[in-house]
Amino acid sequence: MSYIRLEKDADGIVELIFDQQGKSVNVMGDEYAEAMPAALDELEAMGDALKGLYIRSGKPGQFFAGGDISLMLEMDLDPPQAEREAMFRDLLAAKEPLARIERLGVPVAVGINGPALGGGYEIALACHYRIALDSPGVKIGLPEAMLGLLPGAGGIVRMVRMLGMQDALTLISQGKQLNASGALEQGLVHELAADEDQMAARARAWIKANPDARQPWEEPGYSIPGGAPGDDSTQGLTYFGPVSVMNQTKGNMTAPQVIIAAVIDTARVDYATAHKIESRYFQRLLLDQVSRNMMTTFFVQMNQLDAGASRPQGIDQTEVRKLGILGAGVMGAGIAFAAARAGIDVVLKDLNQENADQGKAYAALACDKHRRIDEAQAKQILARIHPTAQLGDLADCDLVIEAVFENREVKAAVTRETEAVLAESTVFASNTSALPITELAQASTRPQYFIGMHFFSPAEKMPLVEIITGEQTSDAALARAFDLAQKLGKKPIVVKDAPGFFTTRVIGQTITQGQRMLAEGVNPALIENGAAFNGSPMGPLETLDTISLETAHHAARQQQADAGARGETVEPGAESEVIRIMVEEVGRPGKAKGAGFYDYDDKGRKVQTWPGLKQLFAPQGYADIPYQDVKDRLLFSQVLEAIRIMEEGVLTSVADGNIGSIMGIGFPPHTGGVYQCVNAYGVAAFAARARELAARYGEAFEPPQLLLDMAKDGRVFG
Amino acid sequence: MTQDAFIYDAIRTPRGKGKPGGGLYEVKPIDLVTNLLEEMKVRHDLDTSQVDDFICATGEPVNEQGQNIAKTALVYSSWDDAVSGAQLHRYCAGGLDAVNNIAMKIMSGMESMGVAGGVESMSRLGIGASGAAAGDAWVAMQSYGISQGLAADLMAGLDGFTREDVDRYACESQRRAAHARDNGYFDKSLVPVTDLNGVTVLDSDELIRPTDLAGLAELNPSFTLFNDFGHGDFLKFKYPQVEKVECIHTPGNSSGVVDGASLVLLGNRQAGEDQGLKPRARIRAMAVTGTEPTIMLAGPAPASEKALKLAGMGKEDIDLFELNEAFAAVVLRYQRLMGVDDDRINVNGGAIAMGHPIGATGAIVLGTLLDELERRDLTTGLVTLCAGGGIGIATIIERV
Repeated sequence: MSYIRLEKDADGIVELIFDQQGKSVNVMGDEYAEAMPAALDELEAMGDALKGLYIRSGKPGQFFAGGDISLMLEMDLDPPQAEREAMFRDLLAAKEPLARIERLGVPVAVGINGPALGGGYEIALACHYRIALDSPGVKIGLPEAMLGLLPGAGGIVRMVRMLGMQDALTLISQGKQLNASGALEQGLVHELAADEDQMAARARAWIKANPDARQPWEEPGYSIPGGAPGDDSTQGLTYFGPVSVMNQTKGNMTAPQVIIAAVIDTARVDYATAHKIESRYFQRLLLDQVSRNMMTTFFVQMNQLDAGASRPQGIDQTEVRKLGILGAGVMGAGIAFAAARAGIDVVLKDLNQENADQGKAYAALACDKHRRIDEAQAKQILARIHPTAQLGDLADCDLVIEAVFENREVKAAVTRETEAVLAESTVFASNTSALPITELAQASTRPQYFIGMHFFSPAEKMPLVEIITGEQTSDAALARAFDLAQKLGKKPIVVKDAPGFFTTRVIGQTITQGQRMLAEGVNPALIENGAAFNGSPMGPLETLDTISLETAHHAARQQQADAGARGETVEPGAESEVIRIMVEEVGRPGKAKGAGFYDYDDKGRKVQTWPGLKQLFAPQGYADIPYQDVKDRLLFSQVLEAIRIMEEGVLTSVADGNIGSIMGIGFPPHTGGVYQCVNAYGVAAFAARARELAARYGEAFEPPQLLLDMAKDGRVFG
Repeated sequence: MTQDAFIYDAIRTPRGKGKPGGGLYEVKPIDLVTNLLEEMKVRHDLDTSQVDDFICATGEPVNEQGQNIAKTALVYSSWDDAVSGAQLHRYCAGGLDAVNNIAMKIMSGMESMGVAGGVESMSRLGIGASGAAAGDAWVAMQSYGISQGLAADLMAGLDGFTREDVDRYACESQRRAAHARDNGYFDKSLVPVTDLNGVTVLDSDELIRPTDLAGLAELNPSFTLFNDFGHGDFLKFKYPQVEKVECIHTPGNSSGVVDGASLVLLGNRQAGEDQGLKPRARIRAMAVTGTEPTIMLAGPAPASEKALKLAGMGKEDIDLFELNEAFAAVVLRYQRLMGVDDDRINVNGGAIAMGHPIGATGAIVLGTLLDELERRDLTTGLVTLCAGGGIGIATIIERV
């Protein structure tokens, strides 16, 4: 057998060893589907000679990977009836071997020697006793929800019966991945072993000691831990749980809805029926557009990004051992923390020692707040950060990031003075959200080593880095910045230099639409709820409050002045007029000052939109505009800008655009990102809707030629 | 329509506070029903073998109100075995729907005489005792249902009614109910509940209490918890124009939780004559309708419009309106939409003062309306209720 080996010892204990040929990891694909029933035939044929079963992996440090995502993505999204029926039968058949394992009539133990995620852990769940290696390589959990799926090989049914509805729901819907000790604590495994030999020995000992072992739910008098649906103890979960899922996802994510329903529904019926219900819900997700979006972006495209699709080819992996950071403010300190945590020595430089020390204190606070960093680790992390006011301390850094004030002159000055102490080929990265890199590079004597690295705030948490190459930036510099971003645990996307790059330009559009609609007299609640129900984490009004209306106002005035200096006149748009009124006339400069579009309490928490908005912008009553138009203006404006950016060649990777939009600026994740969302909507339909919006709300919605061409040719973003 | 359906009588139990210690808490729901069945039989010396059917509504058809409480009560009572029975659930509209169903059977000629009403022992089987299809997780996530009280708050906000508006209405309901009770307006139809020895358990509505605006203003809103625990956001799926719902409904301006039962005797002309009965009113038209289910309380106006249209009548043709006071905002909205002044609606108070025994209420308010039409010697009346899921129900009656 090429996938599964069975090895029987003198005691009648059989080892079932997963060892898929030609693979470094065992995968739950077609070969598994063939090998598993055959192995069970053989085991069942042993009759009384079989005394116990120990399941393990033949791959060192690798237990079992999950299901085959690429197969799922190939499935017809709206198959004909007969195919739907066949699909359901296949889903039941696929998990039948696991039911046969737990019904063998002998004790079954499993040894988890590496990652057991998704399908891998579902195999383990069918066993009566789970032992895991106490090793950092062990990761246990059911992360399917992160890809818009659910654990459909018995994972829901068995977890609910093992842990109860609440704990199962939490672990499954959050897709939690636990290390060995976490898994032991949560009851996902029964014990830990120091090495594979000890694991095997413990398994055998347990098998011998428990000849009558069976699943807990087969024991007489079993009831679901924590209570079944209908019990008083589960009322909060069953009554408010679904509402909370809907509120958290705004109904956009299918998987969380399906998962809570599956958890509750499978708990209402007997075990065999529960498995049928689980499969029906799983099939629902296999036929769901949102799940496809998530698999596409968070699995396929994320793998591409991680593998360096946007990194220059043919350049060896680089390593930054010592990182220089200029500016110890919130941004610089956040990057310093992330770097130190990744094992990089950091020189954190500011104008004076006190500022630099404050930056390090911020990193210390970040350690405190982090649940997974203990005192010893914090000490190690902080020891790597060297706060200083001495420029010379940067001399032996491999890469320097400046995170100083967003001002061309200031940035130019630090570029010049820093380069003076750096080695010739040290990469100098400017952290800016919008200033053109090529222009900033003019201050550099070696622009081929000058690059943009746009971190998002708070940098210790936000997962994206937008890397911007200037006209003269070299591949070597790009590779270095890319590798550093990955080392920091961030997702790097690569963008060419253009005003606003990618992320700032895209999110700017939705903020602008928010202001314009306000100026048109649209009810602010509709604007903010429209964004929320689109799946955005924050409405455009709150976003601008957070950024600060004052900053936006200054920027707009600066733009006006710049244009004036060039002899041009720029008519201020409705959006800048809204901001001007807010800042100059009614003195509501934003969240930091406790008053913007929203009222804030003395702790800075949002209370509600300022009631004065109506008087200012809709004195005759709110404008009558379809809610769908409000939502689409907020979403389409971003997508159309992203398409223009691609059309201009500023960004070329669909994966980078999708992931960048979700992880950088909170574009609704269920859509799969700015480009995938067009695929899901239908390219032609999207273009048609854009035209409709353009006719009503202006040229910002005019479909770009690229979109029209794609619609004509029947192409999608991919 | 081959026959007219006439109302021969409408009686009810007093309403006891719907919690342990309430005046009817010790009474089983079935005994509330049989008290009325026996009274109806005795009052009219009824040959019950001539009654075809009994439909009894209840909001919690489970346990001691479970299965078919109508037939069970008939079997347990002294009524003839020839009478059939069925339980009916249409949330708060059940009691009136039971009346309408019996009326339709009579009008169609399939039955000649029947009784209809409802029962609710909220002290023994509280709201939710029978579970709910709507409570299923998957169903709930596709249906956007919220707490009914919060829906009342939402509707009030959208209609622009304030806490003061609803409290003022509530205060007036209490005043009117007390006035009607003190002047004996309810005496004709209110049947004391007696025990197995004939000893009186409760003989008057328990909930009417002296009320003033200042006292009402001090009460805390009842549905803040639902607002804070997710329903306040959930409703935005349907009402994105709402930023925050202001909770204004309190125990003082919402219908009271009570125990009670109601029973209406209906028949065609011949059946009444055969039993020596005098018809009190004729059913002119009936209607049910559905409206937006998240707010769910906006059904009365469209249901009334539908019934008026069926009857070929206008609003001005109705002498008195009776709209169940589920929440004060329901009445205020109805008055605004229908153009009904205070002196033509709920003139003797309603459920805010006396309570709303879910399944029983529809037939209770029908009886209250008929009594008042007779007392004032007026002709036409319209009775209407809102109910779960957005149901609205209305019935127009006409004295004969």
